[in-house]
Amino acid sequence: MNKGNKLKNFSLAELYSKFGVFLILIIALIAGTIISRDFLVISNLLSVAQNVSIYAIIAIGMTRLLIGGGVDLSAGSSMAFCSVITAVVYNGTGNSLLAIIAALACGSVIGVINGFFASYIGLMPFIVTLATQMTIRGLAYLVSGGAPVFGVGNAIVKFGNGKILGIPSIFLIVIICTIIMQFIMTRTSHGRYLYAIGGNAEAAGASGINVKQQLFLNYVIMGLICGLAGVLYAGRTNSGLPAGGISFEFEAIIGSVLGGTSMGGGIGNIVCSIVGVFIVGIINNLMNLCSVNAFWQQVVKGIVILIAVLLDVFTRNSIMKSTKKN
Amino acid sequence: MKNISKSFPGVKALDGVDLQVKEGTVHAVMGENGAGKSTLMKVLFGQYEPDMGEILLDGKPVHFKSVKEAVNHGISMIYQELSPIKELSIAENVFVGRYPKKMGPILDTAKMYSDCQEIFKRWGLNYDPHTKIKMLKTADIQMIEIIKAISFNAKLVIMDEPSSSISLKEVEKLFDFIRILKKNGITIIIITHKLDEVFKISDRVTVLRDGKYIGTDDIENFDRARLVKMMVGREMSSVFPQKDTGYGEPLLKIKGLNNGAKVQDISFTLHQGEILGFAGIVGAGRTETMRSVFGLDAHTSGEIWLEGKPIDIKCVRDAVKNDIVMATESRKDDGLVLCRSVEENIMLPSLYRRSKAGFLNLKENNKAAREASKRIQVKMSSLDSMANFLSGGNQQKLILCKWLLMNPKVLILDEPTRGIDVGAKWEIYNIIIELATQGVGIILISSEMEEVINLSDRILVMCDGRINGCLEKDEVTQEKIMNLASEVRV
Repeated sequence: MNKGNKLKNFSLAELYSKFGVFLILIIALIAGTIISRDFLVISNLLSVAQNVSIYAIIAIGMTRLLIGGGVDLSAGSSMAFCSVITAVVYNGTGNSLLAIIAALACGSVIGVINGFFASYIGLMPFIVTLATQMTIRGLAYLVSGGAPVFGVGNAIVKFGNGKILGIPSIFLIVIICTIIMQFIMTRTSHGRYLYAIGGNAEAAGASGINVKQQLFLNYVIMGLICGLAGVLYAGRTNSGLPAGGISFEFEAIIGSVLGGTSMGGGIGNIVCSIVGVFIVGIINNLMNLCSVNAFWQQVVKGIVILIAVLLDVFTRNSIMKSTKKN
Repeated sequence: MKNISKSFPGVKALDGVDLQVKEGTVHAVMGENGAGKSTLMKVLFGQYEPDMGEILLDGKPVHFKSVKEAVNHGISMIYQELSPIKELSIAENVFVGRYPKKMGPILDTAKMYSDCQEIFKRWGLNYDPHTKIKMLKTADIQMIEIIKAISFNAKLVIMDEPSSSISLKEVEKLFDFIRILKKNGITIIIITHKLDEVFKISDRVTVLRDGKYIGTDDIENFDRARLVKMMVGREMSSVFPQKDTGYGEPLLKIKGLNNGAKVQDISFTLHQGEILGFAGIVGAGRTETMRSVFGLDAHTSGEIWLEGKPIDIKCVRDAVKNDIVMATESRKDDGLVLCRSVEENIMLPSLYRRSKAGFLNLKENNKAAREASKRIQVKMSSLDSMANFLSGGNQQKLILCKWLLMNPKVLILDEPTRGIDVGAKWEIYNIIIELATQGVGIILISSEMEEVINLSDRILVMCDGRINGCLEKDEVTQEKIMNLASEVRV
């Protein structure tokens, strides 16, 4: 009997961490259809997709960090900084490609800094990235002269705001990035190592994995992703916004956790995180459609975060419980 | 304490144990690892509730539900692993939880420090109560813990292996202090493995074995031989699989290995197809030695030779590349990633060999993992099930499995059968012997005497970070091991 119980618990937790988020997505879609007549319309759904795309890009990197047992609170600032770099370089040279490369390079350098302190020096990622969050925000204002830098050129705007066959191009980029990253996480040794390190760093080390190197790499890729988000953000607004992207990292974390990524590391899935981000987007969209007061929207969002964390704890707890029975 | 029994799921830790301690004496409780000494003390200290039996204190039956009640009855315990609050001062640690207060909730710091000074003066100790604990050595912290215990008006102080982590000179100091305590009418129960110490300090000795009470007597009536006999004197009950082959050429040579702390000047040779046992008490430095060989910990000096060539091991990957692997002691801590699947755990060390430019061939991986788990007979519902849901024995096999996939030349096993049932043990023994027959050199660290004696070709006995002796298969006895393991060379 004991064994049966164990299996049941196990499959519930496992099921939720694998597919629970799709269930929530379906519930949200149905609820949306009932609540608002304007919800289940292709143009509305596509606009939701466009609106959450930046969060989704950041969530791809954030999920990887959470899986590996880290976190990045500087993502929003890094993105803003990279958007400023995009605009400044474009205005200086008139060359879109150069602007994109510069932004991606800056993002990577931020990742190198975060990774150096969080991995090689071994400081707490929370503190390190909180520090870089402020530093980089300051730098973004310094580089931009404190004001938005307008104009990033047609090519970049097409990435951020254009459409291909009626679908927002930024959303297509999300899909491509998700596929690539999902592939990396499941079919390369780097991905497997991240899961192992987040699950039990000591055991990973004792299995001959260079833990610090892998975590460092994780932060660098997160930086690169923030650089990409910066380019897209600049394209979306046709400017470099030093004050933009505030608390975007939290949107990404909420989406990841809703998607079943464990804050404790070792468990998570890129696709599910993206779905999680979409759920938050749908909730926002619904509240706008029903013209819920902006302050109430904040309240609801806070509650969603709480629910997300509760789900995380629930999943982990039921796993823990079945361990104890062992 | 009369007729105390305590069971844990699957184990009977104590089986009708008696312990009678006279007031004002130093009473030693002895036994091998797992004899039930610590469990007995935890029952006395209110940490565990006994399933059966009663505790009498000054002739009156008492029933401790918690540590606090035990403390209120004048019992204190000094643990093997000390846990002071490092950032606080000595006085703050002594008075933690019962700081003197004035005017309601405000701390009377001045009184605390003067009280503390007072206590030190009374016991003839020379510490500044303002010193932070983190500045002190282990031995000093131990003293502070004892002071803390007797400042609770403890009449009975239990010490769990107090000498295990301090130097010989410090042990002398500790014993002097114990004698002072005794003179002041405080009763002391000391748990220890070390024979020398028992003869030096204790008045009476109680011996436990396999959770059973063996006997109690005054120390004058003991000699070394009788004590050892009482501690180990059981029949070899279980049957072990036998290895028929001897061993071959030298494979791994360690010369003068030091890690700057627990591992001192270790040299030994492991041969092809040999099972080399490492015996010793817990904390003798066996695990630490092997962690250094495997690159998990750094070594400060020493050479490692493999098949006649010196090799440089700085990290685990260096060891693995040279086909030296180690199945670590704790499944939870550094053995397995419990929240990931069986397959991922099995494949973890060998991914770098099997991937092409970092890309994995999932089909091939799956096949390799399936074959390896079949060979070791890991019982699981599927390769995708979480390592968490395997039984202890199967988790242990999983660790073996992941390293066997690497086809190692040297396999280091640290307590490979800890906490698993007899059937699984037997299977693991068979795997070990099969590997040795195939020519793999195996280093076996185990605290279970029978296991080391029956499986090993040779046994090295460690004590206090050094190798104390080497016993060949035909000359080894439990008594000899015990003697070497508890004999501190000065």
